[in-house]
Amino acid sequence: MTEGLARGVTGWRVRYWPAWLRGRWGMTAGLTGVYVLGYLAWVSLAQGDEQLRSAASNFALLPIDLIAAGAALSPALDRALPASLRRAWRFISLALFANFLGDLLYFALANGLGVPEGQLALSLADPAYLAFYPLLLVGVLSLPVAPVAGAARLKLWLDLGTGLVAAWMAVWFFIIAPAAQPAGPGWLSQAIAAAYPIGDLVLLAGFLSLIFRRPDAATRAALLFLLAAILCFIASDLTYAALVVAGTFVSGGWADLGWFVASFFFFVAAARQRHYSAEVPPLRPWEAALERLAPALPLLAILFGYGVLLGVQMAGTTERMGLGGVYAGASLLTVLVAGRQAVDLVENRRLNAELRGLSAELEARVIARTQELNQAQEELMAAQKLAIVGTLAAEVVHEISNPLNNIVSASESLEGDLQERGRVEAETLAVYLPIMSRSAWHASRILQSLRSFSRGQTPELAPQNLAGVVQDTLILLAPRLKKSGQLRLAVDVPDDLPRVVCDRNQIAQVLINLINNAQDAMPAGGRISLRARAVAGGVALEVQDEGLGLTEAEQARLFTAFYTTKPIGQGSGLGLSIVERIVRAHRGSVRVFSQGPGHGSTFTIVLPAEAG
Amino acid sequence: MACLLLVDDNADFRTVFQRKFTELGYQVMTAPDGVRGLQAVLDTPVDLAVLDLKMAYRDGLETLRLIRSVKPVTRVIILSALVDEAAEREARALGVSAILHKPIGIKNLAETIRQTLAEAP
Repeated sequence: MTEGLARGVTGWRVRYWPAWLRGRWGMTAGLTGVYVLGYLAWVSLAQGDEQLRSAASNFALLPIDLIAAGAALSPALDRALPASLRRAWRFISLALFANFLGDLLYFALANGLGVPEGQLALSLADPAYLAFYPLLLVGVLSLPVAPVAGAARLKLWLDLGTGLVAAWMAVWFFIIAPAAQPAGPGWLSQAIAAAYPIGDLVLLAGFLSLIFRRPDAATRAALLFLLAAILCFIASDLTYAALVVAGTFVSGGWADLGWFVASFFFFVAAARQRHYSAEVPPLRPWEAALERLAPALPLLAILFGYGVLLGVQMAGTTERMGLGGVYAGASLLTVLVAGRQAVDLVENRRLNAELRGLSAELEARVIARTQELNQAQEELMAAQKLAIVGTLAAEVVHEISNPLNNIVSASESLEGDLQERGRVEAETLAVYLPIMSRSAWHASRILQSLRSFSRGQTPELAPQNLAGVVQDTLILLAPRLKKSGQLRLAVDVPDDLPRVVCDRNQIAQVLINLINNAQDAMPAGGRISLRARAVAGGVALEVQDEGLGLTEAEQARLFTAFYTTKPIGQGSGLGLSIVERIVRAHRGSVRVFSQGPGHGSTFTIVLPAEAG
Repeated sequence: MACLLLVDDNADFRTVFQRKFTELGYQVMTAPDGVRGLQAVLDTPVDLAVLDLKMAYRDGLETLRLIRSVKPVTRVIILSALVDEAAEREARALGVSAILHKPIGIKNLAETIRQTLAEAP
């Protein structure tokens, strides 16, 4: 049972307790949290003597201040962290130490020497306290952020200014202007009290700038905790300032709670920062929310600023100094909004121009790329043609060897007769001479078609009789077809079809590719049907096999370059893409039809007929 | 006189071969394909067969195999129009007297046939 409980606790820790908050740091964080909660309980319950409360509260701040300042030293001195990050934390630590010193002096004065707290608004503690703000600001601004430049930087400052002015309006009207009343209790001390809210504003601005400037991974790690710490600190500061202005501040009240919580969060932030690793973590939900919130902040600030103006107006205040500040703030706010609009306008114009430039460049690149592609395809076609010639070469050698052999044999026979008998019989000549001329013509016809096939790449479009083109092509293919004895080629190309405008060589290439494919589709032999017929507007040429057939998926991809259904090493995957390209160049169409695997395939090419 | 058989799908060459070797005193038979070539080997005592390698309806190699199985002593000369090393290696393994490539002419062929017939089968 205990074991199960322990396992449960361990499991919970693994699942919910963050890895960076374990060991001594985790223990300290836990204790500090309990300490803050203890103070909260004490504030809500303690009803004791005012002096005791003040002493207890001022003393209680010291250890937690010290822990926070000490913790901040850890990332400041950690050599594993980037130098800029260490620098930032050095300043944060210094700020926290200054705060600790201020609290220590305040405690010594108020509770050690017994100076009444009402007179402590101007004391030795103030320089230490006031050092806290610039130090922390420098620290926060030193945190690594993504670099911003140009218009983005200007917008950043305008947004910051907007936030700052709006906050200023409230702080001015409620804290600073009343504090500066010469009739109040000790105006210098009140002015100093007012300096704290100003420090807070500056701090807030620094922090906002972090959010606006897209903090980088290192900064993001501890950002949320720093934000919580600073907000708590500011909350306590403002409450303190308001109470001092009203002359009712006493230590040990709710106002002090924010400083406690702030120290706790500074500690946690330092703990988190120590465990930052260089690898960039994905944006967590709250970070994403913060990024989304950032653009809305200036708008909220504007609403807030004008809200203050409206509120002051409706309250009917006649306080001239306070009103003046609010009016000035509202005017400044208006100027900032207008400035922001102007920057946006200019930037939009620039972006538009850039966009136009980009699209023009893109267009040019598309054109260039298309040209390159076209050229590559031309080269591919030429290469495939050469490959066909290479494959055909063996067949051509065979086909030419036979007539040559006939000619040599016949002429040698005649020569022999002549040598032996001094003459050749007319009957012998009548047998041999036709053989010789027939063979010579046969060889020359083969060479002719091969030569015309391997001629240049430029398509030479001319009205052609398809039957003639088919015949010439078949001469080239004859030996190849003969080799596979089980293959039969049934040709039905009428001589009286309308003439089509085409390049003989390219159509020959198409036919060779299609017949080669048909042959490869029927390893066990079968019949290839080559048919042509007149259709509306042109002539349809069909190559049908009884072979393996094609699935629908195969049919869909068939004309894609480098797609092949043949075994590895057998097909280049180029044949049909070239067929498609050639036919398209002829303004024709090519279709494939197959009832599925095992049912053979039919390729139909339609070429436009000669006009008129 | 020896009996020769030419198996070749080229009709003109069959004509020249028939005439010339008859003139030289051989008994000559020709066949346009392997099927009829084998038939001739079975029907008559052929001393020497000249086979083309590449033909429709049973090619030269297939015919050679069948001849070897029915008449192992028949001398065979391969007369091929193409260079097909694999087929030639196989033919050699099946025991042929010579492998010739077209175009060879009638004189060289006659000389090879004479020498082959002079050797013991």
